Amino acid sequence: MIEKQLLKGSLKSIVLKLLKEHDRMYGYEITQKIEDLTNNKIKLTFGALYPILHKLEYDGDVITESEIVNNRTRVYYKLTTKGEKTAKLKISELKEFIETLTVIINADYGFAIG
Amino acid sequence: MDSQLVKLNPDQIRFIEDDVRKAGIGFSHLETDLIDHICCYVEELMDIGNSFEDAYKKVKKEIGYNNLKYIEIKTILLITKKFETMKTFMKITGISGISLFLISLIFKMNHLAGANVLFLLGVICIAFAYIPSLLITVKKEKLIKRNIHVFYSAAVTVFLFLITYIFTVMHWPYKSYMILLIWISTFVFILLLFFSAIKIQENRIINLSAVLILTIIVALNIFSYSITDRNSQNEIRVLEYNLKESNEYFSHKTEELKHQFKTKIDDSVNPDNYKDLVNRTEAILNQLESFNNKLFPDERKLHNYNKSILKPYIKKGSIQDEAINLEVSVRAYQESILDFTNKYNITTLDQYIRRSVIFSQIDFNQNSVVVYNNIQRLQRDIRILESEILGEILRKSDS
Repeated sequence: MIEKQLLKGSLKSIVLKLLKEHDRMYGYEITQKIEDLTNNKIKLTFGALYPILHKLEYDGDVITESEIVNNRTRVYYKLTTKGEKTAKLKISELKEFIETLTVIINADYGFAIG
Repeated sequence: MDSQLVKLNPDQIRFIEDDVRKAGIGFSHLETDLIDHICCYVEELMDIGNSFEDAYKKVKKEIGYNNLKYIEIKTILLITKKFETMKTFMKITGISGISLFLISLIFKMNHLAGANVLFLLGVICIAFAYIPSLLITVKKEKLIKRNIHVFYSAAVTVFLFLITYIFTVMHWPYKSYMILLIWISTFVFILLLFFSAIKIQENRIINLSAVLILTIIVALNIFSYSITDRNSQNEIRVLEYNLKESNEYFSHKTEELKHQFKTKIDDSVNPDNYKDLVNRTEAILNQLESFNNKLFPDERKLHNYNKSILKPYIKKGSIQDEAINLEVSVRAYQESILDFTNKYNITTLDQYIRRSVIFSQIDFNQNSVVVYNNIQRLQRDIRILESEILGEILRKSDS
């Protein structure tokens, strides 16, 4: 399990990446997909997911489509053209962040510890 | 991704729905999201062998139903973080706009200077700051769920009203097009209101009557607008015609008198002096005429004038300079005529001169059409005066 605090800033980018890869997704599907992809290392609670999705909708990055599935209303989320751009930007930001972190973690500081 | 085999039946779904609804989540479609999410989770647990009751118990425990409301609060907080500034801006501009209107009203009632400027500032504040921020707030916060187009059309109509006011005050062209736009948007607004009133089931009769009353008010307004406009247009025409007639009559009379002067009293009156009177009169009449031409360069505009010209006449720019020149000339003329009557001992006319040849009679506080007619009236009075003086001198020489 990955620490919540470590994930916090990257969740939006992760959600955008998933939506970019799929035509449209519903909330539960997103949490399941993340668990599958990360071997249950990242568990996205719905308390964290829906505020992000609603914020994306509010900012015009995603639009929603409602459909009746299995006797209940299901809300699907879909990237808008603006959302595509945001996703691209956020993903490249996240990549850069990961690369920078890798540099720090792998660096040979030239002195012995201890 | 709908790989689960077990599907909840409608009763089970209703059971979950009723439970979630207890949390009282009203924000956007968050409740729908959560219900579907919980249902999916329960289905997944049932898929691996749990009964509905067990599965739901586990899900409830994991999620913590007390947290549902917290998710809504978290969502709203995340969304409104940046938005608070906009809302504060909206509140400030709204309050400032209304305050400016009220202060300008107090100024106006007490006849203090600056009332119009304050009102204009209020209009600008409401039109360009409050209305746009209100529209953004309503759209972003989804404050109005039903019939939002009625709200938008009302906002557009109010905006157009305010803009047209600015057009009027600033004397910008194309105001008549703005008025046309107001009528169109009012019409659209009433139409939308009518359809939304039909759609709403409860209190339909009351809603429809309200729309009907509003329509009647607007229709009456349009009706009276065209009626009063036409009436005052006719009044002005009659007045103008009368003034023109009498002006012509008196200038004709003056011509006659001048002719008599030439034949009768060459000896008794110094010809230069009577010519001086005639010349001065001609000069002041021409000056008045040219002022009127400046006021309405296009005579057609006077005849087909609309309300835009019937607005308070503003003394500014070149017209103001002209008006000051005119005042000096009219005063000088009055003085010279009084000198003339003194010289020839016909002071019986002095009272009349002091009463009729007065610059302030033009009354620049009136609208420009009234000013135009008052100038014509002054021209007529000067013509009468001229012929009266000439006639008096002739009478004196006869006796």
